[in-house]
Amino acid sequence: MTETLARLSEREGFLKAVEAGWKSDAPAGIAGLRKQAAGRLAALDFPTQASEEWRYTSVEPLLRAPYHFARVPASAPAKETELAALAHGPVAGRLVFVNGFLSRELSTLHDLPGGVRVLGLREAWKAAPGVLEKHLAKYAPHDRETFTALNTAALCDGALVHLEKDAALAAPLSLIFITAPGKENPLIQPRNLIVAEAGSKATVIEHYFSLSPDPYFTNTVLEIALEENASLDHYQLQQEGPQAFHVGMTQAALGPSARFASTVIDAGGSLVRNNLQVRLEGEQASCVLNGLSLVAGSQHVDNFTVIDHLRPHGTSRQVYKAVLDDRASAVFYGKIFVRRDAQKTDAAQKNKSLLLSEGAKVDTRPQLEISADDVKCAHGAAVGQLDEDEIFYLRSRGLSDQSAKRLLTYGFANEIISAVPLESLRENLEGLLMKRLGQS
Amino acid sequence: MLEIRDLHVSVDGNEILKGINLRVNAGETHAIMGPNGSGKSTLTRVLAGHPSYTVTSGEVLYRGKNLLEMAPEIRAREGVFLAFQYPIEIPGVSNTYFLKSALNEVRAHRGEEEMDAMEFLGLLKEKIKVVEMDEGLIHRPVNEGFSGGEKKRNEILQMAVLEPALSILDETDSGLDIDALRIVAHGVNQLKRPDRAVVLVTHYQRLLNYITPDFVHVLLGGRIVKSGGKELALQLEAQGYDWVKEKAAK
Repeated sequence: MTETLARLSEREGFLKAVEAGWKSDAPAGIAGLRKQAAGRLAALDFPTQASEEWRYTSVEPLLRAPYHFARVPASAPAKETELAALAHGPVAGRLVFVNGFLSRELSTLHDLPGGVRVLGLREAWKAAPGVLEKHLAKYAPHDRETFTALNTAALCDGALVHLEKDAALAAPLSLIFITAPGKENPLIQPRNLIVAEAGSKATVIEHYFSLSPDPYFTNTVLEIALEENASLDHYQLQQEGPQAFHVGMTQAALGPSARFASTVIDAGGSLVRNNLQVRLEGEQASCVLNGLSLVAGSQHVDNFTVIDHLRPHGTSRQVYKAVLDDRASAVFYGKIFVRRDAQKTDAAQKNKSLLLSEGAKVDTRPQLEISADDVKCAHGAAVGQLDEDEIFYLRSRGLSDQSAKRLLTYGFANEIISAVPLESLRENLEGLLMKRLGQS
Repeated sequence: MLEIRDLHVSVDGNEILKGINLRVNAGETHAIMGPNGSGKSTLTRVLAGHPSYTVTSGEVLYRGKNLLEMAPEIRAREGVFLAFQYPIEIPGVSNTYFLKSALNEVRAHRGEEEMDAMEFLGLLKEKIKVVEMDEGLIHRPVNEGFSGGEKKRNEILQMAVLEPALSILDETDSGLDIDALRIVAHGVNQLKRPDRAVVLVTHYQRLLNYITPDFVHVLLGGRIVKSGGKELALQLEAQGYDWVKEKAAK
């Protein structure tokens, strides 16, 4: 049975299909949550370009496509060698999800240190009900965000990373989301939760990767709760298939002195929308948000970010960059709120885009809304082409016109990649960048 | 090595060079002096192949070949090097990577084997000593955040690594203190060989205390109005350009 999201105007069929997908082994809390979200889904409309927040991205193509609700594939689609290619150096372990469902067969977890739990969400229903009850669906707003309501209404599997007080993961943890080849156009909806209790520390790589050239839709939600002094380095690598739709909602809540460093790399997908919303709820919380979109062909990538400073002495640093070729388009909408209580906030935001072709298009809207009077805030945006004098300088040293342009593009993107402290991940990203620039 | 014949150059429709004639033989060092706006920088940039300039007439032969027909990178690979007056910053690209790519392009053009990373680092370390540059700078992005003096030294470092046959220095002395000037000059002198030539473009005579020219030319209003030996530079330093202007007007 296939359903389009557009039919939500009729609602009935789609919601019935959602309900049909509910696993009966879910505990009462999960069942209640789904029901509540399904209720909201019945009442909410999908965003249109009339709304400020979706002005530059039309979800029409995404709503018209007929979807199957993704099911667990009969056999593992990925070989160890393919998975090894997705490894980013020594890791504490990896959870591999196929079409949104955990594959224990493909996942490996080494000896995790005490106080660290890494589970599939369905496993967590039984193994960690307390954490779910306290944190699941408490940060991402399924009451007003339609895509989050859709994810929550069909909530089933995903990753739970739970760090108890002062627990520390020395090596990074990899969460790999693979789309299996297949023509049935699946709607894939992983639901992830990272809870870092006071003083804990981890690095998590969230990697979307497709083995499918066919259309599908990933609608993913990640909630992050960082308690006092907790620290999370988060990487999101989006390498979806060439015909894929990808909508992601990442919602992070930061307690006092918590630290959140996020790097979002977009290289795949045909229509991509990333929502990243960070709430600095405790004093002296800090976040660093870096982003890099590498788009070509007719790809469209929309990065929508909100940084909300709610308490004093918060710090935020944001640098988002995009490299666009062909007829690709990119959107950056970056809002920073500095609320009345958030005195001594220090916020800086920068968005830079590099257009490699005449047909490429960028819309950028950095925005500040400041309600406190003793703050330091800066923002800026620049859209440009490669600089003629820079090209000439490189050519005057013997580099061909093409190599000069490639090297300058590399240099532009490298500001984000060189900031990645994990060596193996950085090297993988450099490789990805070189490949995109047509040099192996 | 280099022969410029009646070279006329315009930018945005304004004629800047109005018939330059200059012959530079292998083994020679030429200094081109002149006041601001006389066309000195234009001449160097045209020789390097900057796309903003239009050659309206005249020709330039480099080792018997038509230089003006060559793309900038071909000129570089053929051994023409311009040390920029204002070296460009290239964020995100390390000095080492850039220079290694450049050297390997030049080597490939000469039919030489590509140099691997280890070999190249060895060479680079040796050349760094010549320009007394801080080793940390070679891993930093090209010229980014470099001081004026560091940028100029970096130009000379590139020159030392690429070993050009014809080195053209555009006001490399400007903005340098006396120590940096001495180091830069030392770098240039080290490169001198009977089969190579140097063209120095400068405002002041002081660089010529360290690099002795065989010929000095005065560029004025887009023409070379006077040529002489190294003593001409001293005369210009003492008397300024007015007397040359007056003479040229006659």
